[in-house]
Amino acid sequence: MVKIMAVDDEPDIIRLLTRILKRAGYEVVACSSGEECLKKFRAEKPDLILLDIMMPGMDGWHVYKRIKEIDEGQRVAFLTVLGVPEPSREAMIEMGAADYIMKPFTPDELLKRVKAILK
Amino acid sequence: MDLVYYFVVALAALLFATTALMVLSIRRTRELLTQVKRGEEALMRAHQRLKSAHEELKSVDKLKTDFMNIAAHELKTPLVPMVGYLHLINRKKLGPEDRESLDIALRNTKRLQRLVDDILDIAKLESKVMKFRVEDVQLADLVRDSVAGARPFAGEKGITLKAVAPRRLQLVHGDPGRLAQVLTNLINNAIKFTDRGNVVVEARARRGDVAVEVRDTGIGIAKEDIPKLFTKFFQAETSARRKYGGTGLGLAICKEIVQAHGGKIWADSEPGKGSTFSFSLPIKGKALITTE
Ligand SMILES: Nc1ncnc2c1ncn2[C@@H]1O[C@H](COP(=O)(O)OP(=O)(O)OP(=O)(O)O)[C@@H](O)[C@H]1O
Ligand SMILES: [Mg+2]
Repeated sequence: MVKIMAVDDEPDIIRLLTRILKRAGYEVVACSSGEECLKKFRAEKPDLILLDIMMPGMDGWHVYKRIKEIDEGQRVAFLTVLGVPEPSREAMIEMGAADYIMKPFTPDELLKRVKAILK
Repeated sequence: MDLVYYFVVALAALLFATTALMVLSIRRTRELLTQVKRGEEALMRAHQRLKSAHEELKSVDKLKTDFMNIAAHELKTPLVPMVGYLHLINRKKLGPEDRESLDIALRNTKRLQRLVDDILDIAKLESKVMKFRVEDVQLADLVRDSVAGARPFAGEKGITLKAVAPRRLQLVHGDPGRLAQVLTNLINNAIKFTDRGNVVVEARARRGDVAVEVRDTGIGIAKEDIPKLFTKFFQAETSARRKYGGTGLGLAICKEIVQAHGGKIWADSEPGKGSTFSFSLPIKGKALITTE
């Protein structure tokens, strides 16, 4: 079963991500902070991490850098509410991010992006 | 004898004069040197002041950017579960009444989403913290793409929508996403305010710039309203607002984007006959977009 780790500080958004992904047949590990994600991801070995950027405590950028230091091959896609990606989406994908998904999203949009990344 | 005497005296006088001149000129040179040094110091100080002023400006800019990012985050975060859960319910089979309720909720969520995006855009544009990408942009392609994107809306209203553009135009410099936003806003307005007839989007090269026109055969705009069109929240007469919806931010956003690209935007109209909205952008190399 494909495993996805969802990292977001908003409980309602975590629940939404979990529901959408589970219904589509994925196994979901939810984390409510960057720290929790860093603690868990090595043992969980998710196929993909969906990572929120603006979080209290350690933000998504830092978490991303740490993940890549530990495991360069780990697939990570950012989730963000910001209209203008900064650095740009291209720059981030160059940095090795799998994608940059804008919030709000519809379930179909999210699943399409996730499927494309995992292909 | 006398000749030798005069010669010696003359030589001595000459020597004296040269020495005096030398002393004087050394002194003058010293003075000049001190002046140069003083000038240099003043320059250094001015440079320092400029630098710290620049740093200060940069930190004000950063404060503004941070504020915008926080505002965006706070305004958009509640929309994420709203949009997501409503769409999850939308997949279910519902009775006619629930279906209608959900459709209304979805429609209004979309409206709120657009409003939030527009308000954030205009705030960023007006406070000059909007970041633009700078790329070579082929406006002819952008026109064709935007027209294709608006086709469903035109179809819904039974209006013919047409793009007229040469295969290639001279390139302009700018942010393709933002320029597409300008085109989409103008095209959507043209369709929105036209009940029958057609909308034509035409791009052509002129001397030194590229101009795009969006022409419609719609309700038109009263002469006294033309100067107010590009101010934010302006909408012609309140009845139009109720009939056509919207907030009056579209054209204000267009103006800010076009001007940030060094271009111009304007409107002509004949009430009852139709309107033409145009903008022009300098071709690549003629003017630089103001980023950062
Ligand atoms: N093509 C057009 N024909 C007639 N009137 C127009 C046209 N385009 C704009 N207007 C007038 O200018 C006003 C401002 O346009 P603008 O795009 O800024 O706002 P809006 O379309 O009303 O709302 P929004 O774009 O925020 O959804 C409109 O409300 C309308 O009165
Ligand atoms: Mg509009």
